[in-house]
Amino acid sequence: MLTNMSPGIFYPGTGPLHRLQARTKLLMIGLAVVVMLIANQHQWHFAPYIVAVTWVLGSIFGAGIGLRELWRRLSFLLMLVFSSLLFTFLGGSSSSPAVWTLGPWLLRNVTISHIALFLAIGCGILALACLLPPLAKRYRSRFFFRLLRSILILVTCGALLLFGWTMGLPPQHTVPLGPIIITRQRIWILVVSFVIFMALYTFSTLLTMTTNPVALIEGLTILLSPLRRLKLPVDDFALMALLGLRFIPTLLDEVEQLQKAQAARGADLLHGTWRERLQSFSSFFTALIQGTLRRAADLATALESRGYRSSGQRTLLYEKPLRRLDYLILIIFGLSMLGSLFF
Amino acid sequence: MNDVMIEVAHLSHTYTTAPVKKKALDDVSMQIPRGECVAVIGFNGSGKSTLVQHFNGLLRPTPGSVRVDGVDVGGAQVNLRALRQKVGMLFQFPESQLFASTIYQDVAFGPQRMGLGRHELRARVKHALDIVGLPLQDYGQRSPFELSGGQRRRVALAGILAMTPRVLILDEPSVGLDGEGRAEFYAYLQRVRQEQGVTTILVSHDMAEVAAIADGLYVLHHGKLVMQGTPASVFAQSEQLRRWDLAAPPLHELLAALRQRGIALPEDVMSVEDAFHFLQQTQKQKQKQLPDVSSRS
Repeated sequence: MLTNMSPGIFYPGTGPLHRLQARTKLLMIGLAVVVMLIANQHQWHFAPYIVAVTWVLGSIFGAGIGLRELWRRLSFLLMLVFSSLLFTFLGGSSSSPAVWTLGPWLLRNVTISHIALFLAIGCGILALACLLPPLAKRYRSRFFFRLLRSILILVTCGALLLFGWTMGLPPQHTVPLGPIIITRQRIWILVVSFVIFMALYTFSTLLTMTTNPVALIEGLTILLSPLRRLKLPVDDFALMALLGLRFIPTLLDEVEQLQKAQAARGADLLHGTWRERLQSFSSFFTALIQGTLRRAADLATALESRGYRSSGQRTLLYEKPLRRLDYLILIIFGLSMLGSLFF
Repeated sequence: MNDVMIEVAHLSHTYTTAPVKKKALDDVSMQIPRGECVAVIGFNGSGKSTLVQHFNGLLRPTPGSVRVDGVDVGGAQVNLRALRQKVGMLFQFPESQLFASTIYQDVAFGPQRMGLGRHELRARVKHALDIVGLPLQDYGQRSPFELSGGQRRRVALAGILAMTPRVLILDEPSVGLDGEGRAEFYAYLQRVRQEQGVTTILVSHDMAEVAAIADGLYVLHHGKLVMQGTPASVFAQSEQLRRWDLAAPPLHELLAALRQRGIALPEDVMSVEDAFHFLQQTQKQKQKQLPDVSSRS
């Protein structure tokens, strides 16, 4: 369970993306955001997005991280974004020209009730087949099998309800369905927001995967350092962020240890009634929060007693100037992104 | 009845989740007899905890096999809840796993999940708390967080004992306890063993503290089982132990040195009490001999 929810864990490596400075990568992401938001204004002009997708593919290639590993991290969010965008796709009509018009279909009540009946019978038989011993025994533990089974049962119930409802209505009466109008603007919004989400999410995942957390915070501090003029606590922020990042792996270890310990005591999140599972959950989180708070208090005392505080500007032990590769990549990236706005 | 409780055959384990792969166990085979108290010993990172986590199904044996009381832990049809009830395990710093608002509820958590009746549940909690020396009527309704570290550790032990396990695994049970708390904890542990006859497995990097109660020792080094035997036979090879970053208890080092100097010491001298007893006897014999010597001269 823990292996696929470890966000932003650094993977050591020597690919081109690892060799770039954290500052360069942060600047690139910032520039990408600005350019893509500006490009959004100019409808039906795909050049910036094509360039952005090219950079995404290039950086995946340059990161030297297994595709399978990356997909495990990206898949869930990308599917979520895609499915939520599909709804905007089917939204109401607007003034922009239509690309494609579906319907309207005129359906008689008799036809609807017949379709509902067939659907109910078909899904009902399939759902029953899933409950039969040979299939149920073999696939009981498969998540998708259980999902499919519940969906089938839901569809059966819904179709039966629809059938009952349409039976009571006058049989020859017609119901208009649709029309579904897909306009250029809808398609544009769908494509553009999907590309923006995908690019930013991939970029930031690659950033945390290829950058040492400490270097990341240092880069951020350097980029934010002009804000010191405005009396903003940049150094306090850097210290807090560093401490926070430092303790993510420790906390994950502790979670795993605690999970095992409570499992050995009979706490089981996957089996039992809901009440028992809730108890197991509380047994886990109460102990975890207590441990975390105690650790935080200890850490604060330890830091205090060593005089570890952010008084004034921190200096870096290893000053890392931007190298030729950084400048090269930054210039090419900036030119291609900005240039794509005009072509 | 088979008298082997836990049988491990060619067990290896590699942690795959870490970015850098590391072999934690390498072809370990061992047999732990029923009802005995054994200790698994090794330096930090030698694979001790990884090994014992296979015994109650927290880790699956791949490759290799682990059989507990004749049941294959790696089998597809194994009932993990029943296994974990049979093999109780106390982790490092168990006092940090307490969570309920009263001691009674905390100890009752495990047996409750086994679906016991109310009276049976209460009887078990009472018995478990009695064994660890925290009687139910005095401590039952108190919060576990107002107790001392040693007492909280005993509450955690009671939480395991209330599930009436046949095997008890204790992972570094005395880390972080002071001398008194440690002695108390082991005294209660001895009582548990005598009353319930459970097979006990101690995991430790400190040989001195397990020498007194363990019947057998297993020494792990870099994931390999490098030595096994009775405490006396293992401690006798102090040279090799030092190569595995372990040290025989000071008493045994002293005894070994004395034997090397030609002083005849029996093999069954194991604890400070034994040694003291032996020395007293030899002194008495010498005192008996001394008057004869003086009368002759």
